[in-house]
Amino acid sequence: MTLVESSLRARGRGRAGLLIVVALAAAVLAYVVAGSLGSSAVQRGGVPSARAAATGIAAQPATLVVRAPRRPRRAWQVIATVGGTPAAWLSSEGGATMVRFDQKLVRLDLHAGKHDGGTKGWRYGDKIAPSESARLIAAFNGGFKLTYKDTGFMANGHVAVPLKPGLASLVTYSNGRSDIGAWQRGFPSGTSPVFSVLQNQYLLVDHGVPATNLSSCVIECWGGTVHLATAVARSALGITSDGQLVWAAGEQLSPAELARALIGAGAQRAIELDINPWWVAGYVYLHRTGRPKPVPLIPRQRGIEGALLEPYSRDFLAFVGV
Amino acid sequence: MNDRSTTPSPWASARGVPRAAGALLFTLLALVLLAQAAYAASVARPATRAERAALVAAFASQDGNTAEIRSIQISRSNSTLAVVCVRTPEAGPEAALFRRSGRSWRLHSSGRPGTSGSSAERRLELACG
Repeated sequence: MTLVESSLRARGRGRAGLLIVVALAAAVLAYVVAGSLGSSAVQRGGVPSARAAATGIAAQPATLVVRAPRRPRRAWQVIATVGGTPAAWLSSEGGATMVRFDQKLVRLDLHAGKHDGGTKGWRYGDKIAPSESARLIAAFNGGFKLTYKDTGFMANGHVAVPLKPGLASLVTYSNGRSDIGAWQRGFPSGTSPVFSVLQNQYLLVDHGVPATNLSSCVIECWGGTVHLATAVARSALGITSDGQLVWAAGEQLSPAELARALIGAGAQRAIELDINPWWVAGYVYLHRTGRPKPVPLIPRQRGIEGALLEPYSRDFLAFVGV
Repeated sequence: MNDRSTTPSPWASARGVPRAAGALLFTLLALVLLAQAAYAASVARPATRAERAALVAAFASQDGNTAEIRSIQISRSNSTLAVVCVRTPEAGPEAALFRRSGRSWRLHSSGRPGTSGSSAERRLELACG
């Protein structure tokens, strides 16, 4: 019997005292465990929100509002706001549907596919994660099937297909920012650790100029198409000089038309994403009750079963409000 | 005598009309489906296991999503003609028409069933339903 217990009994409050001691011990234990879990999450390379990284404090996320898009036109329409500030815009130009994202308010999550990458070892796997669901703005197809040539895929230190020098690369850093460039050609910048990389072919746009072989090497350089047609379903992602990400896609586009649309939207560099009608699709997600409601973005798109809320075979990109 | 049993209620008759219409619609739908199945069976037969494997491979080589394949039919009148019937999540049914050359199948056309090719090809595409 300890001195503390005996003194408590002597005062006739033994049980109450023991309960208080146990409760205090549990509270201290919970505090210690929570602290260690938080630090280990950071060590595993979690992508913090850009806002939290900038301010250094884990603030409550600002209110996300995603609006049902009207028929896209040349003028940009706001389709999502974060804390009342426009975060995503929709437009259409020359047969290409485009969505632009402000990276100060939106982050990109690179997802592995059920077949392209497999189901194990990924932070962002073959469907939208529950942690993304409430903040989800849009999602799009990823790159070519990973067994095709000139592809690469890495996320959170886990490699599905080794990265190759010179390929167009969509890089997301550990600070939550994304950039596009040619791998190991002065890119990526060494300022922040790399969290994920998607590689696909060579840069479609570089320094605001389209690749020189867009018309002369359509099939060999920019992917085999159905019936070897030039104008097929195509998609790409570009980045502007001020760091905004621009996704562009359409059901009947040549590589040159796709590049032209992105350059028109201010893209300085761009990576081609998947092509052909069965693999090009984009969604914006409305939030009312329950799970997000997907709205298809490309006129006449074939679509993806489950709209990326269910497991999908190929890799894809999710854009989430921070 | 109970009046309610002899005098038809206006509500009862109002409910009866939609029920009859519903039954008629269901019957018509069943007839259409039966007619469609009979038509499909008359112009095409299901692919054999070997034909199916070859056509799935040919469809995949054209960067087609094999998860969306619903059925594969071979023309009864021309065994070098086949159709891969696809059901896309948002655009609905699609028919990919293949022609056999020797042992290999080549994609000839693809789109909404019954919208492209010769009349025989369109008939085969319509077997997709």
